[in-house]
Order: sequence, then structure tokens, then C-alpha cells
Amino acid sequence: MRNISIQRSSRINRTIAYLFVTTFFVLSLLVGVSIGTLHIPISSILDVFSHALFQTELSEKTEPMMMNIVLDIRLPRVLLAGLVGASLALAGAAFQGLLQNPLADPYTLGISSGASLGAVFVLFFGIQLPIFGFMTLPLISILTGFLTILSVIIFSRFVERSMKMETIILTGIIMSSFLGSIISLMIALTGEELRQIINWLLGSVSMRGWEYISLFLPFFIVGTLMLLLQGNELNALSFGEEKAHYLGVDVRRKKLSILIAASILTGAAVAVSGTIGFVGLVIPHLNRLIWGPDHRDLLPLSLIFGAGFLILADLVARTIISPTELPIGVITALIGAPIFAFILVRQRIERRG
Amino acid sequence: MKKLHILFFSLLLLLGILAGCNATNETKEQNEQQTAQTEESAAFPITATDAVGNEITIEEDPERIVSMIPSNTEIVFALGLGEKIVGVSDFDNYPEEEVQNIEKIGGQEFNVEKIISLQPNLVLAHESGLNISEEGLNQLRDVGIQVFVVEDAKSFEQVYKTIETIGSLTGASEKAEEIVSNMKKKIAEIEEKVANIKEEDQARVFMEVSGEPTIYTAGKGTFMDEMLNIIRADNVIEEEGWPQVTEEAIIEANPDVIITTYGYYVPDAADKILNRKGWETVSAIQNKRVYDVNSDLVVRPGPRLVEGVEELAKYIYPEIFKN
Repeated sequence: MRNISIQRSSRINRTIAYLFVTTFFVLSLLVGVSIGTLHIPISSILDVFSHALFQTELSEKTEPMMMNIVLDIRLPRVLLAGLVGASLALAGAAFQGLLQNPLADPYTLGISSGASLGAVFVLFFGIQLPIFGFMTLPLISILTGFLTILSVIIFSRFVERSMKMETIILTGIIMSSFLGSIISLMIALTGEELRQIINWLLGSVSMRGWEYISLFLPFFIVGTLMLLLQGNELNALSFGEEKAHYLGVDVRRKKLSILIAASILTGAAVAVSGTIGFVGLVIPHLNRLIWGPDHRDLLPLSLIFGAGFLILADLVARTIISPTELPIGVITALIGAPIFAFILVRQRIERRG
Repeated sequence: MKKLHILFFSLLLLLGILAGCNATNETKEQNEQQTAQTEESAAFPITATDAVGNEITIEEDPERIVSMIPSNTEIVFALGLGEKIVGVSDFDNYPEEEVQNIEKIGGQEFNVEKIISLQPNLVLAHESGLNISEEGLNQLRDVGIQVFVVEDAKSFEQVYKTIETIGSLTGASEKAEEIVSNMKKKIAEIEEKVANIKEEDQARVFMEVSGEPTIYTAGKGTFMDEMLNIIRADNVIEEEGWPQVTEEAIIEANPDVIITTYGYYVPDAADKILNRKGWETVSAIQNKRVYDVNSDLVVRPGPRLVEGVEELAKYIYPEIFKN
């Protein structure tokens, strides 16, 4: 009897959880599109959306200029922020579960340094590949991010065939600082491109347009699907590798596929928006605290919540001292660090009882 | 203890020898200069106060000049004294061929030793980079090099004054006045041509000085804004200085003409703006009136600013400035 009622109440809790994060996401989306230099009422936005989706007539109050701004400037920006936030939060949740380390985030293993190095390299030398044009930067960045995680994996296998978590983390940290120093070197040598590079490193989703979304989407879909299907395995792995093995999980293969999926998400996110910190660290922790540690729910909840969070962070970044835009990474860190401190304090107090 | 003494004395001795060498060098150079100077006008010594309030006395016509910023170089070349320049900054690019063969002293963080090794009589520094360059300049002053900090000109009037100041420092006051009066004459000609443009016919112009992903523009109080005033065009930006603007604000402002200045490091700057998504309703885009001008002509406070005005005028009012 008691068991059933617990199950039922947890089902209700789950519904509430999903309802809550989805509402949060939709609201952020609407607010994000509505607020900007030019105020566009929500009614006009819905009008534009229905015009774009169902070919309905535009009402007289909606000028064509507004339509262009909503569809070509704000919507792609807000969506990209959402996608990046979702990817980082999801990858963060996966990394924390996999590495059993509360400090793990999408950047722990050096993927961001690798992707950044690729991007800074492109900016520094002003490279533009003939076919890809301005998409050179994100493409190279994804590539270098991926190469980084591959070399981290290969190196840690070389050090220790069983690929213990500590080895992977240490290798990642070595890789990060090595690549970071190369980035610093390029910054020190740069002239004209300095502001471009700094802006990029601080993270931004400004003026990316639909092209970036279409570039990002395939990686997002593949990475997300690969991770969302691993909820059970992550639950098992969070008891430790040995226990997971006894529970029937093929630890090495699962570890590898989770690592790769989360890296794809992180690499692509860094490639289109630069390094945006704290989302991948704080959002999963926050969700774990509110909804519990079951990865089957934690992953999708973090995903949706992260999307809404980054949309709002971007909104703050571009409106707070408009027309000057702040780097979005600064905002996420300013909001994220106190939240993280708060979570830490609460956890420690609870543990003490 | 004894060893230390020996070391100390040998150091002293070395210093003495070095100082002696220097002194002989200097006197030799001074002699040469004096002979060279006999036929020139007796404008020296001259005393002038620079942008940081230092009073500088130049005893004789400076034969070796280091210019630390491109605008100074351009002015000295316009004065006909280009061959006296022995060092320029890494950013110098005009006059193109001449500047290539002059020693480079670095960028904003210049190489103090390099400058000293060039043995200049006069270093023309600039007010704009002072927060970075101050310490280096002090080192130069400490070794006895005359450093004149040129005022960071913000208007045409100030540029005229700068040209005259540099002219008098280098013994070329007459030439400087000639340059200034030529500039004034050309500006007056342009003003005459646009005098008939009615208030309501003025073109509304947006000037983009840095492109995606963060757009910066030239606002009030910049040369580019003053240039627009001269040719009777409207800057759509009201803020002072070099503000950041959002795409949305520009689309709403709906300018007739868009001018970019960063074409020298971003290929196809104008085309990129023409193809921006969401800008289709902007008049400048619809009429394909997006132009890239050479930024050196519109931001560098030197004699070529007039060319910048002419170039802007041709793009903004092509029917008036056909040739």
C-alpha cells in the first residue's frame, strides 16, 4: 500500500516538475523575444508567429520592420541561447553523473579549451575556408573540440587501460591548461583582432542568425538523443563503476559513449557561442536539489531549464545597460556563482543534520 | 669583501668610459648639425607646452624625429620633413613606400631601447595612448630625449592647431600654415556646394566602425560626425563618442546611407551589411547605398581628413559631387 502511494506521489511530482520547467522555458522564450531596444508587444509577436507559420494576414499594427526584427534578429538569437543553454546543462548533468564529481562541468575535460583554441586560431590568422565562408570558425572549433576529447581519452587509456575517472579528470585538466596557455600566447601576439578574440572568449550569442542554428541543430539532436537514453546507466554509474558493473552495465562502452555525446554537445555549444561558464555546473545541481537525483528525469529537466536560464541571462546581458551589450558569460557567472555557493551551504548544513 | 670592492670599482670605471664615449658622440653630432643648420631660419630655440603640460625647449632644428603615431607621421611628411623621421610605429602605413623603410618602434607598447638607439632629438608622442605609454615616455625623458606629447585632436580646429604646433617644433611653420589654409579652402569649397541642400532633403547616415557581432558606431563629437555636419548630412546616432548599437536600433532608425570603415580588415564589409537578415526594410539596403571608406581618412587626425570629407560627400550626395 505504502509503496503504491509513494509511486503515485512521485508521479505527480514528476508531472509538476515537467510542467514547471516547460512553463519557465516558454515564458523566457516569449519575454526574450519581446524585450529589446525596440519594444514589441507580445500580441504582435504572436501575430508574426502565426503569419510565419500559418500564413495568416498581419494585423495593421504590426509593421514589416517588426516582423523582420522578430523573425530574423530576435528569434534566432533567443533560440540559439536556448539551444546552447540546453546543451551545456545537459552535458553538465551527464558529466557530473559520470565522473561522480560535483565540480565537473562541460569544461572540465578541456573540450572548451580545445574548441576555443580552434576559434582563436581562426580569428588570429583571419582564416576563411573557401566553401564554408564565415562558418569556418564554428566548424574548425567543433573539430578541435572533438580532437581534444579524443586525445584526452586516448591519453588516459594509454596511462591506465581501465580509464579510471580520476585519470580522465586529471588528463582533462592537464589538457585545459596546456591549450589555455597556447590561447594566451596568441592573445599576447595579436593586434587588430584583440577585441574580437576577447569578445568571443567571453561568450556571446549576438548576431549569429539562422545559419548558426542550422549548423548547431544536428549536433544538438545527436548529442541529446545519445544522452537522454542513458538515464539508467548514469544512475547505475553514480553508485561507482564497480557496482555499475555488477548491475550489468558495460561500463567502458557506456562511459565512452556518454563522454562522446556530452563532448559533442559542449564542443558545438562553444563553437557557436564561445565559453559560457557556470550553466553546466549550476543548472544540474539546482535541478538535482529540487527534483531529486534520478538521471532519467534529471537529464531532460536540466535540458529544458538550462534553455530557459540562458535565454534570460542573454536578455539581461543585452538590456541591462543597453545599447552596450555585456558578455553573456559574465552574466551567467554573476548569477551562477552565488547560486552555487548557496547550494553548497545548504547541502553541508543538511548533511550535518 | 675585497672582491666586492674590485667589482664595484670596475663597474665605476666602466660607467666612466661609457659616459665619456657618449659625450664625444654628442659633441660630434652637434657640430654636424650646426653646420647643416646655418642656412635655415633662426626660429630656434623654441619653447612650447605639450598636451600634458610639460614645457619643452628645442634648441635647434631636430634632425632625427621619432613619430609614435601614424597621424604625427603624416603631418611631418606633409611638412616635407619625411626624411628626418628615423622611427615610426608598427601601425604606420602612409605614405606607404616611404614608411616601409623606416625603423619600427613597436605599437602602443613601444620598445624604449629601440627608440633610444635611434638617437632622436625629438619624439612626437600622442595624448591618446598616454595611459599605456606614460612610463616608457618617462624613461625617454630620463635619458635626455625631448618628448613632445601631441594633443589628441577631436575637431578640425584642433587638427589645424596640431599641424601648426608640429610645424613650429620642426622649423616648418610656413609650410604648416600653407597646409592648414589649403585644408580650410577645400572644406569651404565643399560647404559651398552643399549649401543649397534643404533641411528635409538631408541624407540620414549611419556609420558603422566595427561590424558583427558587436556593432560600434561614430556618434557626436567624432571627426566622422563633424564631417557629416560639413556636408550637411544627418548622423542617425545621437550619443556621444563611439557607442555600441543594436541591430534593432539601426533598423528602426532607417538610415538612407550606411558607411563602414572596417573594410581594410574585414573583406566585403559593405556586402555583408547588404545581406544581413532582417535589414530588408532599411532604405540604405533597399537602394544598395552601403559604402566602405578608408578609415585612415576619416579618423586619423592628420592632413588627409579633407580627403575623407570629399570621399564621404561623393558617396552621400553623388549627384552634387559627380567628378
